[in-house]
Amino acid sequence: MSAPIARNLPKITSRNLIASIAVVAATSLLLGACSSSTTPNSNPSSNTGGTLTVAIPNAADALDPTTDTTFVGRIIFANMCLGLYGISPQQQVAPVLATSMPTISDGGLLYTIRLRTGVKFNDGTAFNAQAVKTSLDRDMTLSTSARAVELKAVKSVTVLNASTVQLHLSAPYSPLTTVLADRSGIVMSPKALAREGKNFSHDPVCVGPYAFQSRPSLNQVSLVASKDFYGGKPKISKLVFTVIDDPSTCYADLLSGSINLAAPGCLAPNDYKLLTKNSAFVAQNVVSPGYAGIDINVSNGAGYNKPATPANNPLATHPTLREALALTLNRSTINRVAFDGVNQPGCGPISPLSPFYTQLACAGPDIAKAKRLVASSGVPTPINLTLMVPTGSLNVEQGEIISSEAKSAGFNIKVQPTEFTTALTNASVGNYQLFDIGWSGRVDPDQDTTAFYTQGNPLDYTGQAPSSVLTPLAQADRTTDIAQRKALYLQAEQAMVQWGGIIYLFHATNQVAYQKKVTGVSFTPDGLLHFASAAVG
Amino acid sequence: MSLAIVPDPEAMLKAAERSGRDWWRRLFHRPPAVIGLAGVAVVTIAAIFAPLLSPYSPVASSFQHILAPSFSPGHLLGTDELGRDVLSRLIYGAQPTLEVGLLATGLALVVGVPIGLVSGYYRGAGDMIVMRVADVVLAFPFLLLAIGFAAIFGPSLRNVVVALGIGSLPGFVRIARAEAMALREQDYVQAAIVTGVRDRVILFRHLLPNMAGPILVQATLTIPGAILGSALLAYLGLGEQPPTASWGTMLTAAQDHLFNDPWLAILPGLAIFITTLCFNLLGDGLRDLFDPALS
Amino acid sequence: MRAYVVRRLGQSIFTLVVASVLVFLGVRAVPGNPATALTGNADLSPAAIAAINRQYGLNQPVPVQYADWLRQVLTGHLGASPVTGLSITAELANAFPITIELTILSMLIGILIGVPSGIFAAVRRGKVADYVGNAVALFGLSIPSFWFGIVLILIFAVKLHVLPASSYVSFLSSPGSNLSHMVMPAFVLGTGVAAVLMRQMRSGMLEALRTDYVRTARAKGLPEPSVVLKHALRNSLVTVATVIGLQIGVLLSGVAVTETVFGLSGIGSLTINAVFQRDYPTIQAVALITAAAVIAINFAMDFVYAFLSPRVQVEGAAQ
Repeated sequence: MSAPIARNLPKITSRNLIASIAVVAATSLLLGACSSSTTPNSNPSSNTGGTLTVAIPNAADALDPTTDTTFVGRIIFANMCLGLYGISPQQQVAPVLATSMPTISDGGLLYTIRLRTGVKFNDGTAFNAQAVKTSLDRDMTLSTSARAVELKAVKSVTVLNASTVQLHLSAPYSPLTTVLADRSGIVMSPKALAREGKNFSHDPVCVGPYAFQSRPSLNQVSLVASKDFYGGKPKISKLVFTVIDDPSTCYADLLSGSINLAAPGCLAPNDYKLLTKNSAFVAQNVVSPGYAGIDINVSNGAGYNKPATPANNPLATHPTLREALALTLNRSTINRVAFDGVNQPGCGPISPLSPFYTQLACAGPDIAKAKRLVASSGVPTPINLTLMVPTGSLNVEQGEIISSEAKSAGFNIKVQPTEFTTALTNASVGNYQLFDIGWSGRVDPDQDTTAFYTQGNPLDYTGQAPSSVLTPLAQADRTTDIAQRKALYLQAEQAMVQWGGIIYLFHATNQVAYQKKVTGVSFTPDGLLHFASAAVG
Repeated sequence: MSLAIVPDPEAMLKAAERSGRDWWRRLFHRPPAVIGLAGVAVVTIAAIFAPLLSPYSPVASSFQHILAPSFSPGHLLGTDELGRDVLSRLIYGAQPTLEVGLLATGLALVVGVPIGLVSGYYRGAGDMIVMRVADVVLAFPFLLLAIGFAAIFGPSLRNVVVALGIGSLPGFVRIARAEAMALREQDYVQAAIVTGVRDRVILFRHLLPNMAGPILVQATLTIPGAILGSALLAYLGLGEQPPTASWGTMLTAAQDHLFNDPWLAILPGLAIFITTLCFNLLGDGLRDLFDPALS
Repeated sequence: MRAYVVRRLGQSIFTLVVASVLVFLGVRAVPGNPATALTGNADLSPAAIAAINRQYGLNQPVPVQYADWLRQVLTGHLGASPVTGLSITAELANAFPITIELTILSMLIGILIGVPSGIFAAVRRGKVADYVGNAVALFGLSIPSFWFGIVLILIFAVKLHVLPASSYVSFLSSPGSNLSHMVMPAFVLGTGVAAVLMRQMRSGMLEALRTDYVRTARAKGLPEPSVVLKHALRNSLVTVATVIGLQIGVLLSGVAVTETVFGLSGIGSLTINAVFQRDYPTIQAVALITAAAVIAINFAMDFVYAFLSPRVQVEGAAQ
């Protein structure tokens, strides 16, 4: 009787052997054939000019200027979808597809914009005033548009002639030109719009030094040099944006040469510091228009599209507690520990780059006063709160430092890492208590302020601010006098600090690093990268 | 008359159990298993006595002393990016690690073994259903299950335990089933059936104790898989949340400082590795005991 | 043989159907209303919710919804991701080749390392080579793959500048570059596979070498290497098939994390991103595809195993 283990011995004949190998081979060939037939047939990149690979920290939304809400989306658009206006390296609004700043008449209600002639979209069709009207109409009327809010002052758009377009406003709105320097000013090819409609992002065509080639996955966008670009075909033949969401991989890839350039947000601050000491790389740190801070849910208890409702946390009902929390925070410690000192402490939303900036004296840290305020509020300690932070080690670190510092005055803050888009949604509907968030900033201070304090705006996470905040902001909206606006914004900022719905911590900075052999990169203070004149080697 | 020639099932059982008792002694004769046992003991002691053993609290940050290197004064293994003592966090980190490893395995065992036992003993339609269900569970990689739970119920230690437990179920079901099928054919069990001993008695007094060995082996080999799985999930942010000290979350945070303080990443990974290795060694030793032909 | 194949096929299809039901219900189990889940938009007015319910047929009874969904899946209309706007089918088509290549390369590395070392350890049982082999196998089994990946990146990409740390180049456009990107991730995964294979090979070989058949062969004076080789070949195929079937779930989990660590946009990292972004239509699609892949591979392995071992069919369901 053979031992039990002999049962499992296969009876091999050469026939069986060949047959089974054939099955395995066939299966893998089948799999391989299926996969290779779906592999995108990428164009072989011509070697004149080469490829520039840029690492971005997270994936862009759908590549549609009307709906995009991501910062990295703006970087990609800066190279393939130019707009009527842009921001110059000197932080000024400058005409791009327009020939000059708009002529404002009729008490600020009529904007006449002259357009560049002889410009073609990247599909060869002609750029003209009708195309501008089509894009703006789409931005204002598409149901999923993220641009509608910033264009709400515009009543209608008319074509005066093939190279002049007019915007008719319902009320004066001085930030409009700056708005047109962002995605609202991007002009899309009407032929592409007619073809794709809502799915413009599947094959976006605009005016730009680079044209969209493919987006094989969420994490990779490939652009090719455009021969139709009015500014001349770029030297680089292929521009690839690849997502590297892990900062150390970004650093490792930069060192090993897999990527040529790390865009803002890709590198960790301490790795950036190492690159400043590395002579093979160019490393730049500039203050940006943005800020980082903590939103407190004061009166956004029911969601942005409902009337202002007090939120479910003690800071909503006790303003002194908001001040107490702000007093426990030590900005320079947070900056040093979490960000290796790359940020710039600040306590207001307006950036030092702006002509409307006045330096505010930041209060704190003052633990003694914080404790007194907590005691006088009558709310029993420990005061339990949750701080929602977008996932990512640096955000979590910052959250823990804040939690640790706030403990000294009796706040018991629990850090709650939440995925970024979910966090934004939670904040919009008022489902949070504290939210650690930043804003990438715009040139015009109005876009960094009003929307965040007006109930009804999806960006307003904190709730309806008092008139002490909103009135000076509204007044600043209506005048174009710089000195006047500066004074009004200072007044508004002081009121913001007083009300305490948003605790501003830092003026954001942008870090970029790239190989020395890459030249001609234009890095504007808004954090955007322009590669029209770039070359590799 | 015929009863006299049938061997006494109870006596046979007792004889079988007695020889099983000296497996403990035999284990000690194999160095790798001893090393494994020692390692597991160290980690368990660290987890249980963490408050006594660690020099600092694992969440006490000190912003003046961040990223201190090893052998700094007062910090044998240095401090992390928020100034917390690495040694203390490593010691406390043993807690969630062991918790998940043991709870997930325990869950799989407590649910899987009875199912496998009953299924293997009775066979038939119920057995087929059990095997199909096991197939379905196996069709979903444990990561998918875990992230599915995290997506629906939010990330937490409990969800990780459940997801890993479900993922480890089929292993226990299969072992218990195979053992039940094999043991059922043994003479003493057949005798017991023939003499009318109740099913429940057979299952729980005769079969279950005799499959204790292989089940123990399966458990000690499932734990390392659960530990690795939980570290992976913590690394992705799906398990315990900061500031809880866990080796997986320590690794996530350490990745940002990979180039100016690589030890922050190396140490927790090493801890996971050594713990898993020791459980594997122990499990191997136990398995060799029960099936010497394979050693 | 045919009866066995048909039976296993039937079981696989049944498993797949049950899995699809679970995937379908899983998304419906998400807290909040399904309209939110499917569009990724939390602040919807009641009118918008009603419109979405009509569009996706969310008002119909659940079995009808399931049937509709199944029909869409089978005709390849997986819809568009609410997060990116990209067609899910297109995203999957682009992610697939990467994951398949990584999986195949990992298995190859695992086989190339694990099989010979397992045979070698069995033949040299009790000697130093056996212990060394065992130690290495334990190493492969115990090491956390994502940590291993990070360490390899530190050494090879950063310190030595020999290999790139991340991203992917298609095989068709540049085989050399493609392989240099895949070497580290495939190696990380392959060591885990190699470890399991090595141990299984070793125990399988030990069993086989002890049989009457081998004893007879040796007694007859057949050269030892040919005895070993014949059994080695026999055992390898069986063992590899068994191990792949059992390990595929673990391997795919490892693939997902490895893709994340090395920045490869395959199915694994697509899944992880989709979960973090609450992209439920994509999560549904990848969950189903993954389950289908596991079931299909298990079936293929059963088929191979049955080919090589006809007795297994007679004895019914294997262990």
